[in-house]
Amino acid sequence: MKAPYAKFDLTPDGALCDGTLTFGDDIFTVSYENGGVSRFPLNGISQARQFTDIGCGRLELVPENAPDDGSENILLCRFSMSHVIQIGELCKVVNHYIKSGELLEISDSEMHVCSICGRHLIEGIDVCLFCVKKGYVFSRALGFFKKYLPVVIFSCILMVLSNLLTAVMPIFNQKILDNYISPAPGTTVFFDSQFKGIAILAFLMGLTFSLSRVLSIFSGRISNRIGSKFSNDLRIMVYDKIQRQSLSSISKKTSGNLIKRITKDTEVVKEFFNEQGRYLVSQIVILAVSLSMLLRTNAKLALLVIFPVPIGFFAIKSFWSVIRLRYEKQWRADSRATSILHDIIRGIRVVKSFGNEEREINKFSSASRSLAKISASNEKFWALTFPLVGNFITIGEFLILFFGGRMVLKGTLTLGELVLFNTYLAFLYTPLRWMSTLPRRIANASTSLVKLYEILDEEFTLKDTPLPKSLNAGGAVEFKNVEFGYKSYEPVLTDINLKINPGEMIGLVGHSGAGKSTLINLCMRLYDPSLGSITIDGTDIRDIEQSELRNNIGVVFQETYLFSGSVWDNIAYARHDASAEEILAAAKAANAHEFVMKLPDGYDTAVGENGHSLSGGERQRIAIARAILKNPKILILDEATSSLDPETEGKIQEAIARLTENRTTIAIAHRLSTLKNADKLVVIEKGKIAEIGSHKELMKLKGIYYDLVMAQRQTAKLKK
Amino acid sequence: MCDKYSQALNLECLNPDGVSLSRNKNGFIIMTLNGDDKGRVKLTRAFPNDMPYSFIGVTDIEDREIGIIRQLSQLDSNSLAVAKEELDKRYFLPEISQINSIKEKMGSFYFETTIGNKKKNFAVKDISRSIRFTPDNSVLVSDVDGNRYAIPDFDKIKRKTKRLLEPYLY
Repeated sequence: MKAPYAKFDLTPDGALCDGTLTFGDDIFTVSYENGGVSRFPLNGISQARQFTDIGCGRLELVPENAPDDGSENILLCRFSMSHVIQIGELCKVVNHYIKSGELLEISDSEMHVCSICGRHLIEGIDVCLFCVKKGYVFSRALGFFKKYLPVVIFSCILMVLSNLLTAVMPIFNQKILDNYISPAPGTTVFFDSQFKGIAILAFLMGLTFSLSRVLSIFSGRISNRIGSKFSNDLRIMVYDKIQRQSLSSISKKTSGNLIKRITKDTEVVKEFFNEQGRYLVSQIVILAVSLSMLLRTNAKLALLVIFPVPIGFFAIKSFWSVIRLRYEKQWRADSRATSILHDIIRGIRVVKSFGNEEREINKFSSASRSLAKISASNEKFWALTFPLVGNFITIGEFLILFFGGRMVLKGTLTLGELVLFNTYLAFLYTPLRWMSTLPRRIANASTSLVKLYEILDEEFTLKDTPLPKSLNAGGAVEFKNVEFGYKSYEPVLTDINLKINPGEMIGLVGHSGAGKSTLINLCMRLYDPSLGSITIDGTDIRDIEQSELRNNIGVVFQETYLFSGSVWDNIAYARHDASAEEILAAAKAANAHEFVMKLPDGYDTAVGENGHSLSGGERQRIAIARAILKNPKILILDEATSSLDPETEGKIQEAIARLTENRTTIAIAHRLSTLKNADKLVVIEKGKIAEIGSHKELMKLKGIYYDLVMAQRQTAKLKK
Repeated sequence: MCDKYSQALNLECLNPDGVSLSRNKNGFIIMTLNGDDKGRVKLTRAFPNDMPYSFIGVTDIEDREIGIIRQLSQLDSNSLAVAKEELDKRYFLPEISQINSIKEKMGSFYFETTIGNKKKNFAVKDISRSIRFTPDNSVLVSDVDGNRYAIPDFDKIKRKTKRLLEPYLY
């Protein structure tokens, strides 16, 4: 087995360097790029401890029996944040070795670097944006399109036919001009036959035009229908994946970010394949036809119009990078002004109550002036440069008028051919202009695709075991040597050993950030512990199907979320098959029935988004009714009554007392009086269990719990 | 010492005459306060960007605050040197001398820079939040790993760096 190692990049003095820290044979070896090596034996060390500073961190060894203030620690190395995960992993491995004597390997997944270019991967994106190939991005996306491919091809064929028919039309024009309106000198023509010829060609032209439009309409309709279906499939696929992801994966992204992926990114991809894909085919056809027709009509003139095109394209490409930066600046200035406006309008009460109107007016005026200045400068730049480049590409049109006109006068080109040439020239410029914007469209679509792949490719971190065990929840919960951290290098809980008997009520107590909510998150298996296990009735919760586990656990949070819908819908969210009687009974037990019945629409009252039409206490009682209806064996109460007035809290306490009867309950409460019915109180301090016992026992102990109770009594006295 | 208003609000300002900072044999910073040994301490900036050497919080290793030093310059010369060195180490903020390129890849930005005489490449995800132009004309950049970089004076930086960075400073 390879010795565990980690890279670091700072000297003890904080200078940049390249170094490696290796652990093997009970010795830490710190080696520097300049050949300097230091060795630190593990003998007499109680733990390795990682500290994070600002933009950097350090790894220290804590000697046995060293003072708590860390003054006798040994500094092993310093590192920038680029190495924090790897060092954290090494630290975990070493601490595990110190405790158990077992040396684990460092998992490669924690290194999070691109295997091709070595760049750090961006959190939440598992592919290296630098190395991912655009070809792969699009060919994979075609896979989503597979089931619609025959219809899409059919739509493209219709589009191509429509374009070919449009491309034929200038020939009719040329024939009318050359054969009937301005026939070659010396040709005898009769008025009747001239008129008939013009009429037939005009009719054919009209027919071709109509057919072309009909085909185009059909192609458009098919494509729109397929586009809507495709976009729907993609949205559902992404949404489905997000719903099934673990909370830790979902928490890495903001809700706005996830919503944008489901709605906007899927729309960008649909638009690209549906519209741009179809256009691409048709524009290539138009380009090929017009180019061949130009060459066929007059090769010399054709070369004359084609030569400025590559130069113009090169110029557009160069201007594009300048324009992009200029518009990026404008976009940011715009975004800043909007965000200031948004902030001020939302906080208008605060602005007014502090009398800061003048200051806020100045702040917004300054942002707005800055935006106006940038925007005017960009408009000027755009108005000056783009038409110049555009005109350069189409300079061929003027050249044709001069040289083509001369050829007509000399008789080497007919008038019809000149008109034909000019028409195809106009045809040629349309796809060229469209293609000049194609790189930007491809970049936008590939950005959206990569973001969708991120979601679709994300592995489920909390997988169900293939052969799950069933849960006959009696309600015995046990934490065995549990260790966990949201970031691998920052443990939030360590050495958690706790046994909760069926029907017992446990109160979790401790300072904010001590790890109480983390403990219950682990119990619900919203995350898996990094070490140790949690069992329910002797079964590891990782061996129980997640849906079954959560069916046996009821939760009431401090922040109750009610979905848009009626009071009824929100209570029945716990059990969709609940009868009306069961819902009324649950509401009654939760002390919700009384206030619901006073509402004009009773249980049919729409609660609005997040229950905004109800008070905090009312929302909480509905949440409790939801938990009662679920009838779980294990109940979790996370600060369920902390933000309520005493009267409402009293009602909710009554409801909770009914709810907790005969259930294993784990309750977190800052207001310690709410835990008076708990069988056991567990004090969590800095991620560890510091004290366990009844209220009386802990008060006698005069430890952390005693201090908390005293502090609260003091606050209560002050309030009186 | 803190003024009466701050004292009333429980802000404990340390008397600079009573503060002595030094390093122990293991290289960690230790403090004696009015002759009382406080052991290993941690120094924290209240205003890291605007006043890096004023209003320095002194805490123990478990982040319990002992007090605030209003002005480091009021400390004796040895303590001042130790404190400055410690703060500069704890707040790792390498200075970018030049930005060679900024490439956008699918919404993320890859920076190729020179720091001192070393090339340093890093990625930035949410560029509008990751680059800050401070009122004192310096620029702070945070990368995806949580590293921070500084351009101390934007006016004095090379033209190319300015041109590359300017669009993202709004």
